Amino acid sequence: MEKNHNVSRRQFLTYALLGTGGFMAAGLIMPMVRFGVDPILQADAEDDMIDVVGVDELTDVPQAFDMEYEQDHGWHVEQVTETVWMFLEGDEVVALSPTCTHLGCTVSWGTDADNPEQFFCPCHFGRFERDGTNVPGTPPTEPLHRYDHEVRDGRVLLGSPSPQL
Amino acid sequence: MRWQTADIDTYQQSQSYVDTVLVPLLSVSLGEEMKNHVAMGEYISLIAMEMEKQFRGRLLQLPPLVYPQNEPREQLLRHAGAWVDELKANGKNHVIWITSDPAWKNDENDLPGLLLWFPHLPIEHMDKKLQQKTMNDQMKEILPQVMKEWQKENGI
Ligand code: FES
Repeated sequence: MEKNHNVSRRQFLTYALLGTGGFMAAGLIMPMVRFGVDPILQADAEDDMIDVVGVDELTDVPQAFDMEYEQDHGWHVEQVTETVWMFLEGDEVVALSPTCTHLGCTVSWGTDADNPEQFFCPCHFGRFERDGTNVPGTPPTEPLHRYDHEVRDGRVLLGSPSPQL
Repeated sequence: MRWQTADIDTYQQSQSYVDTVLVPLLSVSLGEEMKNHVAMGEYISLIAMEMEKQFRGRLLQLPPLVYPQNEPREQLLRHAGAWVDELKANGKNHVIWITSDPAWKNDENDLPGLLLWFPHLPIEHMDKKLQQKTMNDQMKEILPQVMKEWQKENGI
């Protein structure tokens, strides 16, 4: 009787430990599954490059272009228009997001009379160099985000913006 | 920033950078002029969205102040004044009112803060491209006015 009782207690412990271990394993694996899946989803998103402008419309002065696409929120599809600042650096296309990296206002090229060769944020006078680098001493702490791009048949296609750091 | 929980967290962390409040003034009437009021309201809401996008790091967009078209003007001004008291008590220096209702033009001097009056443009009849361009043009026009308001040490 006593023996049986011991065995069943040991069994109980074994099950309990297995259970806890299983639970912990799930805790470890679940995030890994998420990490594993996420890049696949992102790769998909990156494949949806959006045709924005002809390369021949670009100059070495940054110009604003509109990028239009549909955003699927699951319950409704929204038509979004985003502005992108684009220019040529030699032969290379550069596409920068206009969203100020301080608190998110919209920056423009050359609107500050004292610094005509920079991007300017009217909200707290944030400034960025032509390549998007933030000017030290102004509120932004990181460069403007840069869009992935691809040139196909003379057209510039843009993916999504990512930090330049 | 918008009047939504996600933005309010950011607002509370960076309050000292957000010194401006945006309030749309929307008139409502169910009478003959109804369609006109609806169109003006739609237009002003679009402008508000666009301004929020331009200035989101420094500006908090509040829900609109909605009023019946024939509400007595003194009463409306008193109401707006109560808002200004609330804003001042919370350290906001600037308020920008936006409207298409021409009645506010006569009250401009009695209304504390910056009043931006937009003639209602029939963008509901424009295609998406033209709408966007119209909005961009409006933004270019108001940028200097907003910058001028920000140069004032104490707006309200
Ligand atoms: S949001 Fe651009 S400087 Fe603050």
